[in-house]
Amino acid sequence: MATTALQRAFGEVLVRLAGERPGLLAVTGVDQDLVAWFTDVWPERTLTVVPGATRALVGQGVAAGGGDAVVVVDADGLTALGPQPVVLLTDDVAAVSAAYRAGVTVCQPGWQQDLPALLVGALGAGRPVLLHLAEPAPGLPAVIDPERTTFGDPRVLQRGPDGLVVGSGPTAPAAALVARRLAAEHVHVTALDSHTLTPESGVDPAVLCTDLLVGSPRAPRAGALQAVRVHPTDLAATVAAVRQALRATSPRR
Amino acid sequence: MTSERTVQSPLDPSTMQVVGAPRRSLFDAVRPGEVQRRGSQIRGPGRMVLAALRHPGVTGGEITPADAVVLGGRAFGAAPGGWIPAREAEAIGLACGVAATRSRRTAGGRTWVLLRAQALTGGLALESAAQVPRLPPARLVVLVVGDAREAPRTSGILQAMGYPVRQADNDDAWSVLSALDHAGRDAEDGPAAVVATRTEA
Repeated sequence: MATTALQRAFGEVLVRLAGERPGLLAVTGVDQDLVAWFTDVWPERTLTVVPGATRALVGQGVAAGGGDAVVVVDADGLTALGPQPVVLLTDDVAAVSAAYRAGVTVCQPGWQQDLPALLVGALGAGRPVLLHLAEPAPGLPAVIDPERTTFGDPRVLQRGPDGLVVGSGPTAPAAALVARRLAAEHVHVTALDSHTLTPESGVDPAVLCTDLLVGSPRAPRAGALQAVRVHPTDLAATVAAVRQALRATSPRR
Repeated sequence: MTSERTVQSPLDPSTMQVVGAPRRSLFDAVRPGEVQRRGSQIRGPGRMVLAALRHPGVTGGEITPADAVVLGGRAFGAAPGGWIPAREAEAIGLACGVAATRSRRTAGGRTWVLLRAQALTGGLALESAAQVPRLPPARLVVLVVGDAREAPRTSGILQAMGYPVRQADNDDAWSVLSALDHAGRDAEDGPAAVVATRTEA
């Protein structure tokens, strides 16, 4: 499978970080696409372990031994996961849902610029974190403003009283664009990039890979938000669907 | 008049020790009688192997061990300070990661993982054990304890996976220390295993 721009950028960040952290090891399976650059530059720091569950265990052992572990996982590998702080890496949405069910924090970068801060934050989180590298749809904003973000805290893309629009990972740029389009129509919503989602949030991060969550800013609970599918090829339809969801969930509109 | 002179044996460990030299033999630093006494007091499956691992001469440290020790399962009691507790089925996989990290950081540091023979009947433990010999050498020694009747099966499985296996009598500290000593050397080139068994009632 060909790597995406986000995955290539992640490879560069990982190689740079490994230069600063001599204890960083990558544990991967047969498919090494997500860490291909790292395995080229640091072959002696790459452990190839084919069975998914054992791979996760080896990564946990690296952390228990005092190192930093980046483990390429699939959905099956999340069954044998302890509390050791490792970064689990995937481009598979099924693994995102499995991580949520297993009680693992999920981090989904929406922009390449966020990768260094989120990777460093995930390595220092003190618990397992699944990093999901999913490419945003073409046509969405490739550069984010405000630029800086921190692991664990949602980034406020725009503030407004008329509604709440939440995106994460591949839908975060869509949340930014929808908020901008609605502002042009004098509907000022609060748009969030919830790149880090804990199991306590009550939101399956896999939903946010395809949908925006829309609701009232006064009731930002997961159960009170409505999922609106993002149509990458028809953003006008997405904006219309968000507008309609805002009317349904907010008494003001 | 005859003068009495104490003749020091050339095999005396104190004359063989070179300051700063790596450990040559566990018997240089461990008194088997002491391990035998302590091991006899241990209830449960660990016995002499557990007593040997608790000896600073084996794991190389007075307060916290210089070597890493992964304790697989609750059958061996609570893990002493500095040891890494793990579930029985997950111990080998976890130890493999620990060894990979420590072999890069410490010169000569080993990783020991202790588990019962019954653990090598479960899918995850077998899967992990089979993966270890395929990875770069990381000075990992797998210690399996159990009933003497299980020794051929356990040794056969590990040998088939590619481990050099040393067998020991888990009621005899000399036998266990000798096996650990040899396995520690074997582990320089890849993972090694010790199967220590005793006849259980």
